[in-house]
Amino acid sequence: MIELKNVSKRYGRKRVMDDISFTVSEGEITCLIGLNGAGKTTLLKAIMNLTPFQGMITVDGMKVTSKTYQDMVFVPDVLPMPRNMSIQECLDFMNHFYKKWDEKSANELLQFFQLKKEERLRGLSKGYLMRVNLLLGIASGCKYLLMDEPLSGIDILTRERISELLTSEYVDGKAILFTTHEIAEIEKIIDRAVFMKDGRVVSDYYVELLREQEQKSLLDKMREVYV
Amino acid sequence: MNFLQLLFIEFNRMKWFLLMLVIVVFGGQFFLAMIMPGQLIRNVQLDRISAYDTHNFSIVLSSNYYLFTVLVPTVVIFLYIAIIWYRDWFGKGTYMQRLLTLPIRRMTIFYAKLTTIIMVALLFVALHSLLLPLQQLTFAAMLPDQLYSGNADMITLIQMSFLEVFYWHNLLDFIYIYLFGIALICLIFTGVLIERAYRSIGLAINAGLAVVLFVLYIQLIEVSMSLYSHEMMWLMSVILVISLIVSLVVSSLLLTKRMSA
Repeated sequence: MIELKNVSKRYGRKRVMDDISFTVSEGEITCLIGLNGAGKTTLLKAIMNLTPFQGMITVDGMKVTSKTYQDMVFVPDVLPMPRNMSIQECLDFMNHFYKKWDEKSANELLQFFQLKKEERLRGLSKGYLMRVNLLLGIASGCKYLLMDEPLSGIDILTRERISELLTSEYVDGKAILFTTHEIAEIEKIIDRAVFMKDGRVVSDYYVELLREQEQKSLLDKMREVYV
Repeated sequence: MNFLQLLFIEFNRMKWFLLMLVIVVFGGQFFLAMIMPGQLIRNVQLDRISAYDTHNFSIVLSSNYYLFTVLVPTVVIFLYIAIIWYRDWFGKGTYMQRLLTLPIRRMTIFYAKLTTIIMVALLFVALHSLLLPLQQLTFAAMLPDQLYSGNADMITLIQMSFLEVFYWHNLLDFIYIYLFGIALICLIFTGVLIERAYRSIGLAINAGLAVVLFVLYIQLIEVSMSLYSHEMMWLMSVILVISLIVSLVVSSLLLTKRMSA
């Protein structure tokens, strides 16, 4: 379980994260929803120790250290690999560092995403780079998957593929935390929605309960929060 | 090993650039070894120098053009000390995010980059020492026998030129020169990490540190007047070791606690 307690961060006078507390559990897909500048990406980076912050973040009860990274992987909005590498070289790279690297899943996902191992990253479009990005994240074998805007700026077919992947056996039992603006597309696949505004968590819902108890969709709730 | 994997990737990323630099630098040196005999012959024909004087390869080594071919890779490697970090933040695809979230100690990234720079510098010195005799042979082949004083001993040639800085006479010299180089690279690495951790404030911190180091350097020169050379060497070695340790500790803290990507 990833646990955040009173996490805050300032850029000068501006508070980008303000006293955020919540947990992310295994087997759940949690989505951070918010307008631009709400602090979603900063929060993911804080969890990954990619930006300094105040407060406490623990993963399975421990502070984030190099050992923790065997269990959590970050999938940023742009594939974080040198562009002179081929897909095969990226796979080898990840295989080297991640003890639980899943070769079988990697090969199956290559097929699923219609990727060719010998292709160089510099020749790939944004959509295909995101496919590689997700492949590397999922095949790493990490149980915590943090994704920043995996659906933004890519074509509808790739978005469909990614949505399909997030409900597949490849992510079974994993804790997925991701940010997005594409509410309509993810409503059916997420378990939980955390709404952020001006660096604060303003509401936190289990989507099924929202539908059953309040008879509202995520979009309705989003309008309530932001309009 | 994780370190070797990162080292391999660093070299893989710069292999074409390195190859190009090697071709330009050593190609330039061979070109000089080929054209300078022609200049000597012209000078003899124009009576600018005596036809009875003989020359050896040191004339090439002492030319400003040759100095330039050595300065080019030195400056490029020096610039690369900063580029090797910044391209991971500013290049397409923020590779630094991957590096910092790998399940390895973050200082492994530091050591891999440090080793890359040291190995590139050593590669140039090694290639140069291998190619120097061939450059001398090229020079000899292009110069008429009556103007050539014969092959000179390589060690003597190096000692008589500015190249002495890059080579060493004994183990102590080797340790001292390369310790200085490693400490300097580490300090620049730390400067880059301070800037990356604190951005504009980091730049101000770096500027302040540069002033402090400059003042220390001036003080050291004054102190050196009253010290024997071996005492000075020991003092410098102690300062270098302390700088190196401080640089490594600060870099480790910054990478672990303060880094943003």
